[in-house]
Amino acid sequence: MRNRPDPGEEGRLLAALAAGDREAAERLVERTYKGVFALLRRLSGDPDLAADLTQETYRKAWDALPGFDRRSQFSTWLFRIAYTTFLNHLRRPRRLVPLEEKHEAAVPDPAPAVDEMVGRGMEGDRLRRAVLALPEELRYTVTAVFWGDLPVKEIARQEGITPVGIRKRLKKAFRLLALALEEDAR
Amino acid sequence: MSRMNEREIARKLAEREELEPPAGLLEKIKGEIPPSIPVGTETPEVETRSPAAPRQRWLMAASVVAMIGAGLLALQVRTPMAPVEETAGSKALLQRTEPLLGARQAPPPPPPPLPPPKPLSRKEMDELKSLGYVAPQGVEGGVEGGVVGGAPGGAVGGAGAPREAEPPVQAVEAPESVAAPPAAAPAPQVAAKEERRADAAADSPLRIADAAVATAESAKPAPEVRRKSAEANPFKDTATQPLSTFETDSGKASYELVRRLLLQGKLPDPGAIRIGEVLNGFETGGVPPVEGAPTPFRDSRYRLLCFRLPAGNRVEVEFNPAVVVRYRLLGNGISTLYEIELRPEAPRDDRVLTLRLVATEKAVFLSGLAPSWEKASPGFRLTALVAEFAEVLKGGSRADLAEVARQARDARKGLPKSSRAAELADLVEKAARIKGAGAGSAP
Repeated sequence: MRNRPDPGEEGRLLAALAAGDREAAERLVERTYKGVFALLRRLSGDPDLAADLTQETYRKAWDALPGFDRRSQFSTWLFRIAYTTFLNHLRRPRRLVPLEEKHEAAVPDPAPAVDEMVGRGMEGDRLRRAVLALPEELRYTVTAVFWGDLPVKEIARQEGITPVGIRKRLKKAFRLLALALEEDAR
Repeated sequence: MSRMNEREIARKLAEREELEPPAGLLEKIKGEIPPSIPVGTETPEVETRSPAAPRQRWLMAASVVAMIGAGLLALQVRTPMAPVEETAGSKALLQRTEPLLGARQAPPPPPPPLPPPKPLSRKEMDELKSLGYVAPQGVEGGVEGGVVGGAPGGAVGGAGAPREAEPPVQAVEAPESVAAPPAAAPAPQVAAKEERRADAAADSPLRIADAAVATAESAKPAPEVRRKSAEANPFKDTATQPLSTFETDSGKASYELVRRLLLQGKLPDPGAIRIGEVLNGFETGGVPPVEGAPTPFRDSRYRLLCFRLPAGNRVEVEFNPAVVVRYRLLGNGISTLYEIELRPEAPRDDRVLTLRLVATEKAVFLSGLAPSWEKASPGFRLTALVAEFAEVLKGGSRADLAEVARQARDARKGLPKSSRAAELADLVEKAARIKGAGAGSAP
């Protein structure tokens, strides 16, 4: 969502869609899917998963469109759906692996060891994990501003707080991220 | 690594590589567009004045109250210090109003001075110290726990407010050094400081506000607010509360406190002990991230679970009600301990819990736990013993300290010197001696 879609154009496309123009939906997808994918790619760190979640995001968006009240821009609304889709993916139960009798090294474990989950891989990956470990409102704010490229004013409106509140959240998030990265580097 | 500043973090977050979607994704999404999509109706944007956030409203109200309070306080302070002299005008006014008011009331006689407090005996002083009412050395008229002005924990300051009006402030923790004996009146420097503050408060509205803030600060029930909660966690039923979350904590304050006081021959205040922080004082390295076993201090239905996770992470634990009846978070430090009660009929191969951290989860099965205390790793045993010791100090366990000390010496055999297992045994023995129970001698 680096190049922000023109809200006026979005409005026209939505009006056309409401009038039954399916092509308008295709235009909306063309305008937004790269941003949605980039966001999910940054959140998940996995291109294949990001592609699957992008498709899921649009499926949910078409289902939820009757409830879209246009108080925010379509792309902002879509961003929120993508973000929630990713979080729901994290919360889904996955295959469980047993804990070995004594020491974990005895049997290869397909899941990463819990003490290796942070501080592993490249710097970008560490930053991503640190962002994901932030408290929810800070995580959403950081993700929306930096990875969703949403304007602060737009996020503030969506969150029901002032732009100053969003900036305060960012400051707090930076402090926590600096601490987490420092801890991780030790 | 030195801590990054905000700008560096922001720069790193804003950095991006090209994240092009895979070929064919657009077609897939387009292919899934339903034939007809109903669109929500536009809600007209209502321009409203954004109301102040509740917190802002509270701040504004508090500022107004502080200003008014400071003004009243300054008036009260100024009146006795600078009585209004009778001028010709005021005399004439007085003459006119005197017949209406009747004879001028004489001011009430000042209350008789309080007798100087009796000096405390050594025993009383010790008792006060053990309750944490004695200020550490070097604290002069502090808010936290000073015996100043003859009142335990007396707070000094407050822009000349009457001393009787000041609430007594409780001490935070037991003192580490012997404080000065209680004085009958505030120290001269402190009294002078009070006077200067009162004068300053009467000088200007800005200073009045400052004085009001200082008053509010001194009247705060500081210790209760500032101290981290050290309440023992109760057991929770897995049928109604299967989820438990904790954050790993790398603080060691409680360990330092316990060690220091025991070395001084004193028992720490049970309320000041946080088991997680005591656990952080000991090194268990080279052990699995998740381990569990029975302990010699609990019924056979109970197991102790220990998680060792990097500090600063939020972890979610979901207990399986089919296996675990109830659980209790004993303490969360670098090592985090849970005590669980197993169902007597629990099948051996079943999931005890699922551990979730960031985007990963891990299951812990009953078969993964050590079948006995002896088969648990020395690191686990040391952790369990530290927790048991802390529980005894908190008054939550009646375990025999002699046994804890003996087990600590035993666990030491499989651990490096840096683990401080020997120190644990020494501390336990000291605590036992202080408690008068006798911890027995080391083998």
